[in-house]
Amino acid sequence: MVRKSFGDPVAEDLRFVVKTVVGEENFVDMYPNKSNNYCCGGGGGYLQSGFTEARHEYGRMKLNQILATGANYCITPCHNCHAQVHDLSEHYEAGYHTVHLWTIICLALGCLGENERTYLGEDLAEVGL
Amino acid sequence: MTKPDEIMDLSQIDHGVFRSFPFLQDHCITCGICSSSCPVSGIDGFDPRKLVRLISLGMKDEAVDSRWPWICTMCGKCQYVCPMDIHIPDLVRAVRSMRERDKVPGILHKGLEAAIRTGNNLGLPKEDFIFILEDVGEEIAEEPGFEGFTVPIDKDGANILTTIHNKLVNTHTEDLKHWWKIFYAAGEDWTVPSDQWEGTNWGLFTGDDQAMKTMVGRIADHMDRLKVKNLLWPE
Ligand code: SF4
Ligand code: SF4
Repeated sequence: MVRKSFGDPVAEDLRFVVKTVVGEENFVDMYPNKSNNYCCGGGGGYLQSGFTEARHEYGRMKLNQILATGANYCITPCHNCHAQVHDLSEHYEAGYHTVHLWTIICLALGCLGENERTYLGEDLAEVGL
Repeated sequence: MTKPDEIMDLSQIDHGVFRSFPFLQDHCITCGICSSSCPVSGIDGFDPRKLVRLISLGMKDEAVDSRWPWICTMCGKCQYVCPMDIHIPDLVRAVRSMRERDKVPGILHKGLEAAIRTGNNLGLPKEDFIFILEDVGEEIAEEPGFEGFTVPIDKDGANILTTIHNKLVNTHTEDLKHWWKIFYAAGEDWTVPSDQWEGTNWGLFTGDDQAMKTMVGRIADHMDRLKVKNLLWPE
């Protein structure tokens, strides 16, 4: 969406949304980012093509970017990214949580239901219930 | 010293094979910047420079039969850094399109065929789809602050039409709730089509332009029929 379609302004918009819902002080950007970022490796049909080993290898770049931020949560704005980034954390036992952007928006709005918290860690699991 | 014809069969080389490809592959200066930017370089011996070279040498079978075009995600990082602006992701997709359809990897072609035939990758009948949407809608209506919530299916003149990723009516129905709650909180006037609602378009991945056009055309038809101006296509 950023590199191939709408460019950096849409990446700025996403950062505005994320900072608004999590608080600016809790946001850590990854490097490189925006148009110069790396793909997570879940796109282009990878999750459906059955090449799981190659997909995990591909994702090491993203895994290392995430780990370098030191963040406990990685927010993903698309289903494919979520599936891949979540799977990378499990596969490499990286320990970070992967949440959809819309889950975190609902959490901030105070309307995230009890059974909609699969991807939250213990620290956020009870927040706003 | 090893001679070129000991490495490969030079008689296979035919620069004319991919002449119709409009991706500027013949402008490649073999600098390798694409390869150093690519997250999948090194796997299966792949890197984008080699693929571009294979194409410009006209080595069709090697390119089409290999796993290379399928382990690339068409992310475009290589093109972003390429000094010659070679359209590598489009080139990859064009090579994917040359595979026989029954040799397309994984469930990609099967899912796409189901979508063309039934309107969604799962082959989920319309009644079942509506049942799931209404069921999830009723669960939301039971939560405080969402009293009276209903799912506006096929609503004429809504502001936003949203498509659905098949996994949201399969294994991940809670993700439907998040979207809909945000719409509700924002006072958004939205709708969802009762059939042909599939939000994924695997013709993009398999290089199938005709299928891709059919899928996009269905969404455009919904927009016309329901007189909706904005599309939320969250895939
Ligand atoms: S970056 Fe562009 S010019 Fe350089 S090797 Fe790759 S495709 Fe060729
Ligand atoms: S589009 Fe493919 S070849 Fe280019 S950087 Fe992305 S994965 Fe690598």
